[in-house]
Amino acid sequence: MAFTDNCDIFISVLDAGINRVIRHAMRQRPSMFNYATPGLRDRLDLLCKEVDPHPVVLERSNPIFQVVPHLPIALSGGYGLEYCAQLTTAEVDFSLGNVITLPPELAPPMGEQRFALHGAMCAGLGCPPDEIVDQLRPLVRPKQPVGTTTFPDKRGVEIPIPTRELICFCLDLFMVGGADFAGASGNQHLIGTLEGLELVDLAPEGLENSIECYMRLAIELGLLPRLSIPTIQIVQELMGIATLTVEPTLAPPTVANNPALEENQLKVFLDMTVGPPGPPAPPGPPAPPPLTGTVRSRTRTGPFDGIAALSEDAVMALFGAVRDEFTFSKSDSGDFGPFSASYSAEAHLENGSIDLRDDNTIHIEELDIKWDKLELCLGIDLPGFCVGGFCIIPNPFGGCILRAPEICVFEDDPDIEFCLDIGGFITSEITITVRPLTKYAVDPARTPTMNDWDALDAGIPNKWQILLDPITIDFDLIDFADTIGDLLESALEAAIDGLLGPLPGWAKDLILAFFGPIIDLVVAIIDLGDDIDEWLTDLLGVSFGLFDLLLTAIADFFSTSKPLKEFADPVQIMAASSGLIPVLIPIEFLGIRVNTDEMIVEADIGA
Amino acid sequence: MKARINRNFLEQTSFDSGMPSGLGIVVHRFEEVGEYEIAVLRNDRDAARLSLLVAGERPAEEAGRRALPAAQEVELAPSQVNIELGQARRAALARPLGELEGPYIVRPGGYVSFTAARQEDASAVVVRRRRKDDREELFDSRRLAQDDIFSVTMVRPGTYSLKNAVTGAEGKITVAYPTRGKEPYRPPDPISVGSTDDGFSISSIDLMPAQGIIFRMSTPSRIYIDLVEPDDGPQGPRPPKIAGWRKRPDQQVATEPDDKTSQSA
Repeated sequence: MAFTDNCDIFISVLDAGINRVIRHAMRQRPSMFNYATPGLRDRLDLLCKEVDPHPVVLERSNPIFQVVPHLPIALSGGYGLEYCAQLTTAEVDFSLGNVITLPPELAPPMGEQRFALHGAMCAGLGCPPDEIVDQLRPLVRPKQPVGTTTFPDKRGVEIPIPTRELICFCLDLFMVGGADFAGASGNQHLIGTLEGLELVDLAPEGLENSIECYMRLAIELGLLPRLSIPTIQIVQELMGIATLTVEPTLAPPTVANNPALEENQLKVFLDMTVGPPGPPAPPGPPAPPPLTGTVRSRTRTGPFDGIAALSEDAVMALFGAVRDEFTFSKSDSGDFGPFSASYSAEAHLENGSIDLRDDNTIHIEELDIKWDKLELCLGIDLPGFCVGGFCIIPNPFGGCILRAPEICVFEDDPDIEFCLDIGGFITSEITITVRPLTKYAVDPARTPTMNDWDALDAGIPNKWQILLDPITIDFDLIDFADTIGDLLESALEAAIDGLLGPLPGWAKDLILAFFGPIIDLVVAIIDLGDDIDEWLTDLLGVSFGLFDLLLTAIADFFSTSKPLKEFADPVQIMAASSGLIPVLIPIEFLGIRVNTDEMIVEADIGA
Repeated sequence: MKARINRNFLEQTSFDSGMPSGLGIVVHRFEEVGEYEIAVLRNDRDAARLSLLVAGERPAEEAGRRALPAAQEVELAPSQVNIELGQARRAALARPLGELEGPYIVRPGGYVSFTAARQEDASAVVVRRRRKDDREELFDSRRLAQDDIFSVTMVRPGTYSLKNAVTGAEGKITVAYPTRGKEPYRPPDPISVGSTDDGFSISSIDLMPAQGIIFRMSTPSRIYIDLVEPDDGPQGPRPPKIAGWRKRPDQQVATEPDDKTSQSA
């Protein structure tokens, strides 16, 4: 069964892949998961759980934890305690569950179409030893009645009490829930729904229930909405098609569940419609030339962390967006003896039908070449002619003794040049067979000492590229319109008219009489023969090689100059903020393949 | 390169055998050996004088001169020589006073033709013997004599008057309007017309455009040909087009079909 049997776009993410992303985030942005008081800045060894930051975090002096105020000692009038709170583990598991062992309270095993979250939290309080407590002087006046100071003390902690160690405890939090789409049509977000929550081994029961209640509210009203994924927006941006409308596929009846949590994956099924193209966008600054990549093989085995599949219609829409960016512009001239010719051509591509094939190729037929301009100019040397020169006195032995004066009508053989735009009169098609492939490109400006963050800062990140590598491209000149002969004759007449324009009508008629049927004359000069189609094909296709140039341009466009898509590696999932490094997720592998049903993109997230 | 059109042939609508120019030419045959002086007359006054030598052989001292044929032909004088009056007059004026331009050389029984390529150079021609005791005028273009020839090529369609000013004979020439056929047009052979005591041998002459006409003189003649009524063809007079612009056929907007006619029954 194909991924896109019942939808246009299929996306799935493996729970293991998400967990890899979480681990990257925890290492690259530890301050989001670890909180501690200022006194622990230099005593990281006192934290309940050792933090394992990414080396770049230390290199760029990012904090290991987010500093929080000391814990005020109630009624003390200014004393405070050191403490820390850490989320040490966060992991997700999708039905049927292979990552998290749920506690009995959540009725394992996990049900169908469910996800589970596990978070391990540790906290520690810097409880001072007795000898330090004994040395502390009360900050409140003697006999100051209880209740005469506010609680907590408005003055805050003025004297943090030093500590040698934290008294730590850890709690395991488990949650189970489902997933759904929420939000207005056209901007749906994928959001989790909480169905059960359990803090393990917390007693007494009332305390556990109270904390669980509080946490459930915090998660449902705060955390899950923040973690919602703007699925439609992401897909539209990835596809890069302005006129694309994406909606979740109806479930049921079209698919059983959408989103679906099954086979250890989160699956999303989407339908799309492509609207009519809008007005062309104003030209932006020229894009930098694409990098030259190399093919990389997958090093891992097992399921991919992420899969995206596009139906044939979606591939067509994607191809259409790329196709519409292709433009061709070329001009040339040549001297062909009795005549000269030049052309100026501009073309773009339209239409086309996609056929995905099991041999990992995409066959595109009926891809129309629209000649926005195909101006063909011909310069022809018309034969001159003279009047007079007849024999006045013939030689009785042959020849002529005396001739009348001869005046030639043109001082030299006259040239006429005429142009005709035959772009609208040519029907031509392209048939392309391409093989999708991915390449990995390293910017040559990147130095060996640069890490991914340095490269990102310099604007030279590595790139994964999705390309359509052309295998065959065939040009098919379907037809020249019958009226092209009339067009040629009209242009010719206009050129002659221009040549003889300054002459009175009778003189034009006389010269034209001398020329004879002008179209016949020109036909003879340019060796047009009986078949103007053949002549034009020969001139443009063989003499100028225009069609070969077009095919080369198309091949270059797809193979090197225009990746179908480019993704920076690593992918940034959290932007830099207040000096904190951005969170970057390495894409270990990106592959693409097609079969008769769909085009499939597969990715692995690096460890 | 767009070649320039030689407008001389288009604009000549009058011909004068006395002052041949353009597509008109007068021809005289020289029988006797001797030296001759050719006077080019402007307003009946000598504007230039040329030297003509009628001889069986070219004098050896003339070899190598600019106007002479190549060295291997110096032994034999040519049977005809064409004198372009404008060029000859300008060359003569450039020479020292009293020195004649030339000599032009032709064999006995050979022909000398006179014309001016440009109409403004049209001049009368008088040929005299160069003998101290004999300044007989042998030829005067203003009064062509027996066996002289006047030939013209007429291009402009229309009706022309034909007149011999010496005898008063008159005639008419009609030059047909050109028609575009399936083959390139080529003028028919020239028509030969005699100028006799009784007038022109053909008084109403029909010519195709650019067809030649050769007048052979049997009586003193000065032939005038003037356009009387131009023929501008079936479309009438069409002024020259200096500039123009037309929408290309592929740029023209298709005409909306008439709703009434496009509706199906």
